[in-house]
Amino acid sequence: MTELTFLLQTSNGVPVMGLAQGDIVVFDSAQDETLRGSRDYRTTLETALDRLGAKLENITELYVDIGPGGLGVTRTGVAFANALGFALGRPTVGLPAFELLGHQLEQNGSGPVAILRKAARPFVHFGLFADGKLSHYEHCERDTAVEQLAKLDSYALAGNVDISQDIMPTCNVAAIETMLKIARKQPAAAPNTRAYPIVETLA
Amino acid sequence: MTKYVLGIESSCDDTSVAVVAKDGQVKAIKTVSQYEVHQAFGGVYPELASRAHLEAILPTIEQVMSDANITPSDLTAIGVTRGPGLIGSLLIGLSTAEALSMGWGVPVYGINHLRGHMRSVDLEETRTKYPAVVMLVSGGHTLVAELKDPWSYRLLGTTRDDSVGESYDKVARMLGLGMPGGPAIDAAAKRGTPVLRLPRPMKNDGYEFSFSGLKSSVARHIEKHPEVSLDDMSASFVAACMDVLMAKAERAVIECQPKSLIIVGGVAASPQLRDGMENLAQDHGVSLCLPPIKWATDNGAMIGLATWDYIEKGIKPDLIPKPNLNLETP
Ligand SMILES: [Zn+2]
Repeated sequence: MTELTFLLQTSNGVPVMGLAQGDIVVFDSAQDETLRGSRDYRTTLETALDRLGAKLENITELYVDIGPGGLGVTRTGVAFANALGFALGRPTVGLPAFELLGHQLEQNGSGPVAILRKAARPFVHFGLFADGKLSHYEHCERDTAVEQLAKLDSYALAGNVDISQDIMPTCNVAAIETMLKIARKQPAAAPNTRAYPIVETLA
Repeated sequence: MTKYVLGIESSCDDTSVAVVAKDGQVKAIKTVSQYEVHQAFGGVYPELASRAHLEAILPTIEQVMSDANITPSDLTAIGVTRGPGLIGSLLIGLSTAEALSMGWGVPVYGINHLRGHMRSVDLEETRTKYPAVVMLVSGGHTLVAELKDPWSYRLLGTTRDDSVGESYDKVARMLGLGMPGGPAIDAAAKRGTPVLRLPRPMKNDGYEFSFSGLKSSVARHIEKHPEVSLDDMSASFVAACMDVLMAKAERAVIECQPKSLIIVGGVAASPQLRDGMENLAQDHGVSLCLPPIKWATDNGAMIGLATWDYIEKGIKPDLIPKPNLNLETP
């Protein structure tokens, strides 16, 4: 078994863990009935490595979701990925959740992607993603985000906030393949690189 | 080759990591306080606490391993607090410890923070003779228990509302003495005279405590008696707290007939409490065990020493956070 990339997405509250070899996902916990959504990262990873006949030492780099989203679950995932990278002497690189969601929906269609995730009421995390990057992000009241969206002709919606009865979010998590694609675009990281969650404004 | 435990404590607002040998020798320790993070809130803000733990925990572990001049192969185990405490803070320690255990191939034990406090008295030097009575008095806890040995605890009583440390902090704020409240009130009390007649809540009933009424009574006296000085007010409050703590400790000593009386937790730093307990221990012919003040507050070394007990007993609790874990459960 050659080099493996570890991927962990958590901020939507239903964690997904993946392992990839080069540009190919060789394990995806979302595809596994017994491991889907599990927050027991150790068991999930041990099971995955076992199935692949791989060892922990095969992991050469780690990527982890840094939110915004569920505070506790994001921080727990980051803590696990950071400590694993530290113990293995491998880099742990943070990937913003809104970049992941933006890429996920952009590749499915055209036009900008709006991302809204719940924060402490009445606030939301609001992002706009277009032309391959996050062009806008703010922590604001839901109505402020809705006002801005009303100015757009059309957009795809991701996250966990409904805009109206007609506009429901399409997804709140990116496919592990999308996460891998974004991971591959990152510059090489030093072995002592660690991830830190996006600093969320606390109401 | 001496083997060590890496003790990790993150249950509240201090990130503390230590390397501890089985005999309680502390090879290295580092504690990162979040005092400044929470100062503006007048108490611990849970969401900021877990963020600060996440930032501090790996650099602290790295530093302590380097200070102790050890590698993961020198570790028998990792011990990490699993409760009681703030869930977000506990999760950071637990997830970190779990991943380190996996990456280093070292077993990990979820440890009861309260049992850590109980063992803090034997850090660096074995002080306890069993059976013992222990009183834990801190910002987070107030309880009295009987210990037949380092493993078997019987809870005698705990607080129904505020901990004694919490009431110190709240009264310090009311008196404008600043934070942390304990040392400020103790210093003021030393200069003052206990002129006010404050209540001694539950002093004569069993082992339960209640401090919120005492705090309200201080608030009323501040309003009614503006002529009473801060020092006298503080002295009156401290005298009331001490009276209650001493009464419970004495009751436990008479009932349980222990060889040692152990006082642990941040409030064990109070000179008034230390003096009072010394007299009490002498009167009843028990040996008083007070940890050095540096081990009285939350720290990774006490978790490390407690971990050795779990190893010896072969008890390995899971790593699921238990915010309300009680003393009797490992
Ligand atoms: Zn404590």
